[in-house]
Amino acid sequence: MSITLAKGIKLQNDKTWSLDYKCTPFSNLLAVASTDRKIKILNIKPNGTKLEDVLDGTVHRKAVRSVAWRPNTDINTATLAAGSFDSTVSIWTKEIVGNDQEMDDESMDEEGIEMDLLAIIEGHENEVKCVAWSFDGNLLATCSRDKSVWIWETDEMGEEYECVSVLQEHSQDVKHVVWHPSRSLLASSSYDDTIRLWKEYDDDWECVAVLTGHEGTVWSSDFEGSNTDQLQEDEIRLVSVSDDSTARVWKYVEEDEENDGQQVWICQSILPKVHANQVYSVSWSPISGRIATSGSDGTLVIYQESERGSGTFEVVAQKELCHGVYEVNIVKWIDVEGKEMIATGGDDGYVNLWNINE
Amino acid sequence: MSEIDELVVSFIANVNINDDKTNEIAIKITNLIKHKKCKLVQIIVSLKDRFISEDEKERIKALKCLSSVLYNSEPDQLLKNDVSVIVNFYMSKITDNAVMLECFMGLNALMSMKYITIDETTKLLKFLQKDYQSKDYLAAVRNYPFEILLNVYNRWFTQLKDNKNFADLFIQTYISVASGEKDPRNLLISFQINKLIVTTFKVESFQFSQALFDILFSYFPITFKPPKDDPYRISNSDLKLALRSAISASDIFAQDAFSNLIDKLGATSPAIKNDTLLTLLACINKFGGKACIEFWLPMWTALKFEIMHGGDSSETYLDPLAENKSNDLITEGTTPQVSNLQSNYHLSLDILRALAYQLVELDESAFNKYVVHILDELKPNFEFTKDLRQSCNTLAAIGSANLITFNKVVDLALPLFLENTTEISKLKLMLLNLSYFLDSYIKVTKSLENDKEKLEDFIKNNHLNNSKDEILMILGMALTGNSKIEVTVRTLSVIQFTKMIKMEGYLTKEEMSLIIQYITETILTDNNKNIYCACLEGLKVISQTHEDLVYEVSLKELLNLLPNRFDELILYHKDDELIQVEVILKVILDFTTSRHVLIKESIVALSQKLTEVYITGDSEAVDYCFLILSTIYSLLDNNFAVLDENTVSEIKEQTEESLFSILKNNKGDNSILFDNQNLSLLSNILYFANVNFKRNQHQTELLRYTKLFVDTDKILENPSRLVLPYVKILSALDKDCKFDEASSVMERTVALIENSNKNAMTNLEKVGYMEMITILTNKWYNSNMESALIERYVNWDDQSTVNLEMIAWIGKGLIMKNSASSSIILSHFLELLNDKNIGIIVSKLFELFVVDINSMNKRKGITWTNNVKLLYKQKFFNDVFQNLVTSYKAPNLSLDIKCNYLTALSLILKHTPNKLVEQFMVDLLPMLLQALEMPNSEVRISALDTLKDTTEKFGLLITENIDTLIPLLLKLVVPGSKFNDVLVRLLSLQLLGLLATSVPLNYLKPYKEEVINGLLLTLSDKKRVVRKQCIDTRQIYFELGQVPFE
Amino acid sequence: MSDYLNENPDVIDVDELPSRKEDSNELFENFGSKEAIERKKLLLKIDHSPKSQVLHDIELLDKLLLLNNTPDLISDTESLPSENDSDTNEFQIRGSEDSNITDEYADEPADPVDVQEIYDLTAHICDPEHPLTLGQLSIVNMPDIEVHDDGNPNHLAQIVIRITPTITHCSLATLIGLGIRVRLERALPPRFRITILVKKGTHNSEQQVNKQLNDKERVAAACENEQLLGVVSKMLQTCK
Repeated sequence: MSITLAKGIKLQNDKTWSLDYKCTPFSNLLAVASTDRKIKILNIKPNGTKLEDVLDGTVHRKAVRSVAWRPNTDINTATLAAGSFDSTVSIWTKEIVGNDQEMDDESMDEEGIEMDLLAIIEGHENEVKCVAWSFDGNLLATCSRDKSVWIWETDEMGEEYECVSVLQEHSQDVKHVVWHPSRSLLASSSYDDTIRLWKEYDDDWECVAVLTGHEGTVWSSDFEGSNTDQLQEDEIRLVSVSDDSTARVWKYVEEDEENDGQQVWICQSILPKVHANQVYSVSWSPISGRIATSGSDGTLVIYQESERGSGTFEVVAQKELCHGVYEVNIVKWIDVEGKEMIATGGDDGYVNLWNINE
Repeated sequence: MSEIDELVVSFIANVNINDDKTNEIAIKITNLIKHKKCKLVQIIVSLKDRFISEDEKERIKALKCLSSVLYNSEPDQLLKNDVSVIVNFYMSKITDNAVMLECFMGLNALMSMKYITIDETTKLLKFLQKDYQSKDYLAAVRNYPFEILLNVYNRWFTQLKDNKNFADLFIQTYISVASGEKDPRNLLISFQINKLIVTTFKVESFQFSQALFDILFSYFPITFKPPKDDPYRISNSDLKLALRSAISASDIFAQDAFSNLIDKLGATSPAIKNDTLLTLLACINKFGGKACIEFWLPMWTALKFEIMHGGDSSETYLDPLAENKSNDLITEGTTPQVSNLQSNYHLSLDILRALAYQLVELDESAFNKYVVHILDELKPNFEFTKDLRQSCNTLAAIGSANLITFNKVVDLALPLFLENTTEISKLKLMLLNLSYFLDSYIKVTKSLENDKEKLEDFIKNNHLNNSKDEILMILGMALTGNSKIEVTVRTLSVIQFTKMIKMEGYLTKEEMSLIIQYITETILTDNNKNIYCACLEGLKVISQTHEDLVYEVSLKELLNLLPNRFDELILYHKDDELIQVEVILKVILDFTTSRHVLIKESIVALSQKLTEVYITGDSEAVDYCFLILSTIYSLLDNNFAVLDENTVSEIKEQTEESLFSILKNNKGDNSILFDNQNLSLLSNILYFANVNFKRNQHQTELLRYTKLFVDTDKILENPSRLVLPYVKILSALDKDCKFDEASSVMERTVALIENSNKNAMTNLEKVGYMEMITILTNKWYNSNMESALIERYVNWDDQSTVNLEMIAWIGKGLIMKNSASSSIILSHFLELLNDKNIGIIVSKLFELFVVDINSMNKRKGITWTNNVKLLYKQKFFNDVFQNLVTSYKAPNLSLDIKCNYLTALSLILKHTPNKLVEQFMVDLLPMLLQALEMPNSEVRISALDTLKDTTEKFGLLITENIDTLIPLLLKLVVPGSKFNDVLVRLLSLQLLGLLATSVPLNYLKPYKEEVINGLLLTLSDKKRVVRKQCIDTRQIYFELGQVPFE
Repeated sequence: MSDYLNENPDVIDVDELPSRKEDSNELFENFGSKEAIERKKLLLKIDHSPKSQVLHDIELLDKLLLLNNTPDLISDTESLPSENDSDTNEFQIRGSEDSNITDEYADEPADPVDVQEIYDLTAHICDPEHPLTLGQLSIVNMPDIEVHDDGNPNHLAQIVIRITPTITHCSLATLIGLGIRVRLERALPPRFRITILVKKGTHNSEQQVNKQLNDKERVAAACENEQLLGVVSKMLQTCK
């Protein structure tokens, strides 16, 4: 299996921090966050990629660190959340008017997509590091250097945001938050080297488990998910990557008898070591069940589990210097009209799209 | 109508219309009176109707007429009763405000008349004192009372001194007239009168001293900005000085002056403080010790603050190195206010010194109280090493008043800190502190310059003598006893040594020699920059006063140390230090500067050394010889101005033989003759040896040398390297010498060059012969022979490089003397630039026309060597520039031809002073910008070079083209793309950096990002130099428009 | 300056800092014949002044000698250097940066990035509280610098610097570290990965400081903090 560059797109001179992907009937939207404060919206097509929109760079006064598309909105709206070092979160939206069902690419291209600012959420004391939507799109989680995770509830339109909980158990910066693709379970990764899992108990959010083992900042994590429902009811797994250059897979075991409400998790496996330095990003494909990681050494690695659930992973492909000599901050599996690809973002200001060749 | 009436009428007619005329008339009238042609009364009669006219203008005119006449009259012209009549007349008019000015004018004139009486004067004074309200009148009017007072003073000087009442009246009048005066011109007089009063009639005026002082001090400190159109050109400092000298005029002000000034010392504005200090100083010196007794304490208390907090002066320590120290730690301290504080700091010290002087002059016990008190206050500082610098500076200042104060301070202060210690930080402090007392010694001696016997007395009896040995010992230890790491201590000790030598009469010859030895050893064995500078400074300073000593002790030593072989290690006799030859030569080169004896001796000795090295040396020696030659050359060149005919002649006589012997006997591998650089250096040395050689000898020398080289060595039969020394000598010798062989020499030289490919002429020889052609053309072909010369030797059909080059050299000879015929050659060369084949060669040759060759340069005071017109480059540039530009711009010109024009141009520019280029810049810049894209690194380099100067000189022009320039440069910095060789990259980066300094921020800021990113690739340039420059330039752009946080 | 010497005796004089000896000559490598260059280097030992007439004459003679050689006819037909796409338009497809490298350049001998170079880059940074440089205060020292670089522009390289704070509780350790990082990130090509550590046992909160200094996200955020950036650029003003 090999990884080949499908397309490299230079969007700015500064770092590309984060990206998120969403398919709509008319376009496959890739949102890109970067130091230059201007969020870029790309339209990914097998036959060509196009820069649809560059959002107003004055809304945020500092780098945009994280972007996330709101899932499960009605098919004609695309809503985006963006967290910035300026300690605010912005919400953008767009009505995608499908004036004609069999609309051809050209006219689509001409129209383009333009997003409008819907809301600005304030609350964090300092840099917002990550934003994430719950699978049903009703909840937005944000985290910050202020050591807290905030959970916001929003309405249909996504205009109003009410803070339903502030989670402050982490002893240091919270670097990353991610929701389970099909449960209301939240994982947060931190500078304190731990991952915490959060669950709602009679409309309050509580920490149900602390995953320790990493020997450095945990930069990000991702839940196992599947569009084909091979996953059993209580089968939950999480992969995390860290400053310590390792990637670990964690497995939910059972509810904890002794102290009620708590969950027991184990570190199922440590993925084969490839990365030399910090690993910044990880993505677990719901389609192929493969895991992709990237980091400071610029290498893009793909792991495959010998048999699903076994916990024994092997490296099936890797691509060195996939952003030249620059660090790679984000990796994400994307589904381009049934074809599984990988998108990466690096310090060189590029977004690279990769073909996975069996 | 009588003549007088006519004059009067025409005067009246001209008043305020034509002042010259009126004045002239006034003089006429005065003369009439003088020669008894008429009486003053007649004038009054002819004016009387007007005097009483209703119309005040009429009255004014009339009075003006009379007053002008008086003004022009001699003091003794008017007789007793004339005077009294007219005075009374004026006094009757004086209540008429409208005519006040004219009245005063007249009265003023009258006051200095011979027959004016005390009573009449008194009358006027009384009026001025009681009835005259100065504030009601303009400055012009107000000026008269002062003038009047001045006249009264001069007229009644003696009476004023004896007659108290009269004096009192005078003073009271002054007081009432002067109070509230604001006009600068009037103030100047007011201050002057005030001063006269207190200096001349002292005792009587005691009762008024308060009032008089208040008048003055109400103006202190004067801050006055003179208006642009001030007819009297009175400056702020005029007033300041006048006021100052008035305040300090007499000790009757002592009480008021001191107490008020001391209050003013609290002022926050440095400027005011400065004025106050200066005034205080003046007062102290004027009022004398008696007045100071009760005030020195409050003064000290007030000054203490200034001194302890003022002036953070690094200079005072390391003055010799001030400049290369200062950049070590640039903190604050460079702003004007601070430098102002500096001077206030020193002023305060001067005041303490003045106090000391006055007190000691008064009586010694008073002084002792003073000094002891201050010392007691400062003692703790010595214990806790706090504010030590200021404390020592203070005491030293007090000491620098005279012998007694000096000794007192030395006795009291030295024991506080003068101790030999091995503790470095302590030692450091001690040396710093000591320096102030050495300075203090120098100050005293300076102040006694004109009093030989006092000076002798001081030198004999100052108590610093007692500590001399100890000091010498400590300094010696500090210098030699410490490891080299202790830079500061060692530097300081050298500096103090130097100071001690500056101290007149302090050291004996022996002691000086010892110090010179110390310093010499140090400079040889220590390679620290600061220490080196300190030592150098030391040697220089000593040379100024004791050149002979330096020669004996230092220079000789240095010269003796030079080994005969380069590879030989010099074992330094003292501690087993190893020294390098280079160091010795460097030292010699550096410290002999502009000292006849030292230079001469060095040169002579070095020449002898050269021969020894040469004889005994092996291949190694070539480099050694090079160093020696360079040293001799530099000595001659750097000191050309100070080396007079005699010195040079001596040098020549003492060195020529050995130098020639080197040229003659050539041993194989170390031969100087066969080493290009060495030969050229040696030849140039011979040039210097001859330029300033006895003028009357040049003719004989010319013959002698020609015989030697042409006849004996046959340098014109076959190519010989000896042409170099010969040609250099030729260009040194007087061009008025008869040189019959000139044309034949030319002939044969050309011949030699023409078949250079057959006779295997080396490049160096070629250079020599080419230069010969230039020299001959320039010196021994006068204007009417030139056309023949060209006719004969300039052949355009032969397009061989050699021939073209020869023509260029001929051209050079002509161009240098602005010869008309040079244009023939020039225009042809310009055409050739357009030639596909040889254009590129020609373009390079253009450099020859303007390149500076040292032996051909014009030198100050040297008229006889070559024909070099002052502005020949300007002429040349004007001649070719337009042509080059237009040809360059010609349509559909192939790139390589364009390249030729550009090369020629930039090569010329390289050697043309910027001020000549200025006016052409506008045309030039576009070309230069294009040049940056030329596929030829040479061209790019020269264009970049020119652009760099341009950027510094013509920032505005560059700013206009910034949008084209920056993208171009960003292409040139890319490593590895064609024609961007190291120098191109480097220069482009430097230029980018320069832009930040010469282009206004708002124009450059837009490019910030572009440049920062554009330099990214260059950060990984192979060459470290380029990387370094890239980083610095990039840093500059990162900082663009960003305020460093304070 | 003496005042400072009085206050902290263990300040290294600027001239005493380790430095690259041959620096002054480097420029000469760019023009002139070997012989001339050698001589110039030799001359430098006895005379530094740029207006040295000897220096001029050496260059002049060299020029004249070279002038005689039939000049090298450069292939003028060569087209202008082709655009290389380091420009920054919004949207553009990746092309290989370092394509048109000429043979001349390829043959040029390379000066490797070595410890001395890193030292020179950092030693002249100004301490945030003294007007002295990190080198003078021995906060950065040659032996505490590691460079791992094979010189290949397409390979990653590592740099490790261990700093020695003046006092074990020096609150400014982080600031100093930040200064060093900013300096190096601006000065070194992106292929360099920089690790800044507090030397073992020289600081009470070694761990925290190290972790902060090497957290790219925190550094990035710090660099967007105007005030902090101001302090840093003041520290960097003494480099140049």
